[in-house]
Amino acid sequence: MIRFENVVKRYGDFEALRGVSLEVAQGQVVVLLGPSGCGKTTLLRTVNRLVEPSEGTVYLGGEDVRRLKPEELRRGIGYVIQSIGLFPHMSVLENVLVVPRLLGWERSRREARAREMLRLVGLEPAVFASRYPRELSGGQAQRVGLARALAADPAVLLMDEPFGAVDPPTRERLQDEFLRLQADLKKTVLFVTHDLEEAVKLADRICLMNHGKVEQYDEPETLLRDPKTPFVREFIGPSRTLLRLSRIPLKGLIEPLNGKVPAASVPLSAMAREAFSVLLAQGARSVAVTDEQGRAVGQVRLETLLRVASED
Amino acid sequence: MLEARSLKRSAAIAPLVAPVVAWGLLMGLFAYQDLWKRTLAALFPNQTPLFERQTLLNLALEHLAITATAGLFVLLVGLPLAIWVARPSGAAFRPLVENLVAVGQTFPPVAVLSLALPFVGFGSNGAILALLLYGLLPVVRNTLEGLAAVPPDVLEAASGMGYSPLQRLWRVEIPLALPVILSGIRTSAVLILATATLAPLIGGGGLGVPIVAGLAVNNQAFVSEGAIAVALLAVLLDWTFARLEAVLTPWRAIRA
Amino acid sequence: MLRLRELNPVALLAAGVGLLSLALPWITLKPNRLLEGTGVGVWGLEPGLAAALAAGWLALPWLRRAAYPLLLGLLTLGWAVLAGAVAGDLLEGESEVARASLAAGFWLTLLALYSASVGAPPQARRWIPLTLPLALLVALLTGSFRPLAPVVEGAAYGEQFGLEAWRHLAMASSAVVQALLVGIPLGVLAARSARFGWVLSLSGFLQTIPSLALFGLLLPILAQLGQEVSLGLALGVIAAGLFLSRLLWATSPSLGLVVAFPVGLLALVLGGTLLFNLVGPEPLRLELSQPLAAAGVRGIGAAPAVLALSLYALLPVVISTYTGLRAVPEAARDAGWGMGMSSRQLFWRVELPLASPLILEGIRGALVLTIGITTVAALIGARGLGYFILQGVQSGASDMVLVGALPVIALALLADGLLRGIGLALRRRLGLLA
Repeated sequence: MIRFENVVKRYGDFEALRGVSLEVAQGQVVVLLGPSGCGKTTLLRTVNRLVEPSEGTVYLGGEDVRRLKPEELRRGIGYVIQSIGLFPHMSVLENVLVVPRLLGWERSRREARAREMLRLVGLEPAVFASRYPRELSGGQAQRVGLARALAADPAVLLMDEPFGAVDPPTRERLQDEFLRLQADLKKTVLFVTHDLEEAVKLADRICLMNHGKVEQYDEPETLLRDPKTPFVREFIGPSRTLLRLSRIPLKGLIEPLNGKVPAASVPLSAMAREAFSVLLAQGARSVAVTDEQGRAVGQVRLETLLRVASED
Repeated sequence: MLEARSLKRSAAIAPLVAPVVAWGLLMGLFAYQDLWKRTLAALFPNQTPLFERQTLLNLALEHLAITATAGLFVLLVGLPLAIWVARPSGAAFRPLVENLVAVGQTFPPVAVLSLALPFVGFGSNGAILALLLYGLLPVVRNTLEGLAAVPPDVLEAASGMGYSPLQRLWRVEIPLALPVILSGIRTSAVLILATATLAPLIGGGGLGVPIVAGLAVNNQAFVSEGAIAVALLAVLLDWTFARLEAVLTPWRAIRA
Repeated sequence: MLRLRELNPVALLAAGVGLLSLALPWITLKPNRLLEGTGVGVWGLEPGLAAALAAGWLALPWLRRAAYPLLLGLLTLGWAVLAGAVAGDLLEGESEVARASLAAGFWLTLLALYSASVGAPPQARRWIPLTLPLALLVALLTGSFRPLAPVVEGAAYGEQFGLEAWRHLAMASSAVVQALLVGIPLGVLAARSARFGWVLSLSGFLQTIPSLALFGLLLPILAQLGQEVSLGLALGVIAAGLFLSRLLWATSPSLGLVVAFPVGLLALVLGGTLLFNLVGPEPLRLELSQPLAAAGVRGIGAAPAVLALSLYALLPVVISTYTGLRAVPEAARDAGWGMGMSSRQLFWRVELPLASPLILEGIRGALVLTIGITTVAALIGARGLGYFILQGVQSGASDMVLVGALPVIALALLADGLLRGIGLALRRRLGLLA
């Protein structure tokens, strides 16, 4: 869907991007990850031509983005940034309507669509439509930002640290909702963050960048298990064990209950990391796994978790 | 849905009802010559109590006409100029415009009026041109300030969503700068109204006429008549613009 | 060599205007100060100098570094010398009353010079404040401006010109000093507590009233006051009023203010008059039994002028004090508290120093504003430089207007530059500037 071919960006003598080639498949979430100044945001902005590459080409759906007028290109791409950039002089509804209006959608169609989008991100239109941005909390504003980006039903979403400015509990909730939405919508998403944990949680593939180059482009599991360069190893650091657990579903690790049911429990749908946290918090050696009705269907032992975490 | 919208709109205009009523009352007060005459006669028993050459209402309307015309020219010249130098195409001229605006502020008002004389001649037209030069400053300065204060993340979002530069200017930058621009227009309007009081010095009309005449013949009643009337106008104009700012930028207030 | 596209468009514009202005008349020769005259260009009388100026304008946009301000200084000098020479040539053989008034070309060149100084290349900018005043000084000392009509008119007034300039400054500075004495405490009050928010609205309201109207409204009140009240009585009332309001303040601040307000106004009238008499040209004669009019409190003259100007200057001072104190970072305040400062120590050692650059901005605004509006005071017989402007306006002699207006503009720009300089130094000392 998106293809970067040897993209170079120079600012004077400084090379922000030093020959990046990357392919993002349709319907995937690709996270651009790396320390600040690594070029991830610059790379993202070459897609909607807020940055023009000095060399190389960016293809969107097989077409060179330079062949489109910047404005038309951008109207077809959803764009969410960290500070959101809601227009303070427009109501929530008007903010969501911006791109449909630019595209010249018919009035009844675009209003219905905007309301639908608000509902989709969990904001009741009757309550929020006529509010102004300064009357919203940080989490609500970020939802409006997402609704606005989705309003014209773009195939591609560009998200630049969209959850960077909200507090951790809200961030986690927004991440969960993003995953839920993405499961339905199947957009092609390019997502910038410097937060390894967020990347591991959201990404289908992670592109770890440093000094304007791609260090490694892999699925999160592979990246965590098999860092290809010393930089990747260092960036992931000691937390890689824990992070790997957050990609492993609990399902495959369950052992039958042998008589007594452990006091602590986790749901069947959880990831291994959740069970690990519970075990550490309770100081227990095993935790019960419950199904949707709350019945214990098995248990997971600490030793099992430690074994899969350290597997190479 | 439709009802809700019209309800919202009428609620938005509600703050303007009071100023409109106040303008009506003030004009009525100006038209009530007899009241002025008796009051001034009581205050200044030894002097001719009322400027008789022109009615007060006439003077006030003339004053407002001069102010409005000059104000209109200020907007027609000042806004495009400021917007142009705030954009990349005119950016090189921005320091020049800013500096000229700052220097212009040091010109004494009487001199601005009189130095325009050779170009426009005697009378109210001359006054209008001079007032234009004087009223330009707050409008230009505030427009530049307002446009510069638009948050960069909003600009980024606007470009990223596909606004063309002109659409972005018109639909995002100018509306967001509007509060600051409006307060510049307000300052400018009050300044023009005040400076127009000096118009009689170069043959113009308005409420300065009885003041200047009164000072010349040492009649305090004339002076007070004009001074009170123009002060009332200025205060009402200022207040009206304050209300207008609230109506035009509802998004700045937090509603309960 | 630079290509055209790399040139600063402002410098190019300035050069264009400079060249254009050489094609226009520079001097209008009038048979006397009131009659119409005919405009005369520069090429007929002084072709050499004019050509030099034209060459200078052509070269200017291409220059860099020190060469640019140097040439700009020379152009400024050339402007003065050319105008003086043309005026001198024209006046030769004319009668005493003939006048060489300034015409479009002269002013347009001035505008071009100003634009060129704004459009100076970055590396050359810091030399501009040196070469331009130097050029003007040389032009003044060599007498280039002497044949020009405004200078001739001003010189005809001789000593009176100096006197009015002094009076003008005395009025403006007394008003600003008064505004500071009243405005800074008011600004502090407003910043301390939302209860005093009306202070901001009040000073805003005062500035809304047209200056001439304010003069007019004060006229009868001050006239009455001056005749009926003696100096001793006024001082007594002020002292008693302040004492009373101090007492009331303890129980109800608003009641205290109700008393303090008229007393404060009376104090402003008296203070302004005395201050002006102290720094101005009028000698100070005070006897407690005399009516206030003897000390200068009258409906017309300096007293209403200084009072009205003080009220005008209040807004910038109050607002800047308020915003300055409000902008003091909470962290600095916390650090002060944490180190054990009392609230008084905190104010003098932390809040006021940090707010001082903004307060200085307010003082600058107040001073520039006051110097300009003082010209209106001439209408109520307060004289000052506005006197010449008024004379000129009434007799239709624009040269006379310039006799008053040019020094006022120069004073305002000087005050502006001076206070800007002090502000810059202050910011640097406070570490607010890199």
